[in-house]
Amino acid sequence: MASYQPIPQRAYLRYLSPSIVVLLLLTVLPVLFTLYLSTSSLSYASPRPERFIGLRNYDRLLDDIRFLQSIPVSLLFIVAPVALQLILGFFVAVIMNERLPGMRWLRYVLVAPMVIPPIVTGLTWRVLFTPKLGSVNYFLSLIGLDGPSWLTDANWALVAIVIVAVWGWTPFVALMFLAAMQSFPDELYEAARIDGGTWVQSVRHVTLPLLKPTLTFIGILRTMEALGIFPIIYIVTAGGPAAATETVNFYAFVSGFSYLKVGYASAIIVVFFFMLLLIIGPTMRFLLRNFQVDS
Amino acid sequence: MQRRSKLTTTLLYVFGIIYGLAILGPIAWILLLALKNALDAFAYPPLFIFEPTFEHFIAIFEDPEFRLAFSNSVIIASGSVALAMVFAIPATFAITIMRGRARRNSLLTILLIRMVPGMIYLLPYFVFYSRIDLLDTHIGLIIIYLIFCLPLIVWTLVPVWGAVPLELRESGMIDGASLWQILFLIELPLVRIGIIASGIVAFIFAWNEFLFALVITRKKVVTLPVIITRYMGYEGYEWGKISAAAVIIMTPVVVFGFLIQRYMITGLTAGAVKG
Repeated sequence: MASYQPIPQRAYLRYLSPSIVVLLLLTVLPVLFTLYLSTSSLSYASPRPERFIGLRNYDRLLDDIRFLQSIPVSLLFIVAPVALQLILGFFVAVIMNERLPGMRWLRYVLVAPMVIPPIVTGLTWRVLFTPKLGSVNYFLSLIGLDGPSWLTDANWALVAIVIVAVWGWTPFVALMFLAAMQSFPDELYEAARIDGGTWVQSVRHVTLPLLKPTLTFIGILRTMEALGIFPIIYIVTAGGPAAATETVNFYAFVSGFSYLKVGYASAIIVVFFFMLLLIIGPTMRFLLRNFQVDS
Repeated sequence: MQRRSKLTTTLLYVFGIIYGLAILGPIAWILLLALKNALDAFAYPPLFIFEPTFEHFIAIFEDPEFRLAFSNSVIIASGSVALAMVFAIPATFAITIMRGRARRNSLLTILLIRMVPGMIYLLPYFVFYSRIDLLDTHIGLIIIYLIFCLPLIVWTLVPVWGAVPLELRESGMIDGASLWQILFLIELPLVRIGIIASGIVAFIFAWNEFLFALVITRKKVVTLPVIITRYMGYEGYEWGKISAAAVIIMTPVVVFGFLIQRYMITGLTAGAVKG
């Protein structure tokens, strides 16, 4: 008994370090390898052996209209869906937080889009947007609207992808907001009631300000994931029509796996990685300042 | 809670119901399509009442490629969960005793790694795997999925494990147990619900994953999300088969999702953001 000593935190290092080491190996090495590939001429379509070509891949990127076009598309597919997800998610969370009698089913319904494979989500909407087979335009015609040809018109194809992204990820946002709302102290709502505030005012002046940190956090998470949007584009529009819905990462995929230009695609990925760092930088600063993990 | 006006309450119901239907509608549509024969599928206006047929489901289960993809998906998703658990369980055991900066930094590192889009890693893994002959193998895909499954499990498990009192470890030590014994004999049985829930979260990820599966697999280890795109082949789209396959792929994850819906978001809410 006398020999007993409290366990030093250091003793736990060997329980945690394998995970950290394995994760870093599996992620940092590929990034370094990509940097190397981006300076090579490697192409599975060409019989010539790969060689070092310096920054020539990057140089070519600057003249590649298809690449330059993909940047605003990537930005659009971040800004529009994430903004809509946050707004819609807020309202849905407010509704569920009211615990209206007979509305419990909504909680369960929300789980479905979160777990359905993105490829199935994409397929489903591909069907829905297809004339005759799908129903989007049929339902629009019921309320007297003439639906556009969603997937063959460049602008409507962009809208279609945004719709699918909003359908697929708003439930996650709503459930995260709801979880946060349920932890808000009742006293604040009580005080607002005593002050004679209406329900709408309490949502506006109590719920919304309290939700702000969660809103920022979820906004960041969604932004990072929105940057990587892939299966939905792959299946709903395949980047078309005429590359109109092609994001940076989608173009990297096409360059690498359809045109087999691995070196060139790697250069695109490096640019993509820097776009990601632009998001991660402020994210880390925010999280380090505001994130509390001690329970 | 504030008193709502009648009008507000009505609006909340209307909006909530419309939103619920907007979520359910597309799922119901694909379900109906899977049960329609080719003629009914293209009827206009769309048919809501029709004679259901199971021909597409039968056709799919008779397709050896689909059956292979099904077993591949089961093997790869289970294998990913198992491998990730080997790392994630000790890691979570350690994180639950950590406090302050060390805890935060470990959790944030793990979270960040999981949030990085897979496209970043896709090309190097493809090139590397083609050189060491890991393309089109189960283990190749399972190793890549570790990048995502490990963080998912840790994040879902930490809040559950955090509820186990730390005094258990001290008293275990006093009784002469080693840390490994405390981990496996005392604490693991207490957090088995968390293990199951986090395992399911990771399983769902691996089951659904498309990007790596598309590139890393060829023929032998093609998974379900990849096989479904193959039905969109050259001879026109076989929508009946595609819908039936979609229904089969999503059914297990939707069932799992309902079972563990309580745990699915706890991982991220546990690290509370300061107000």
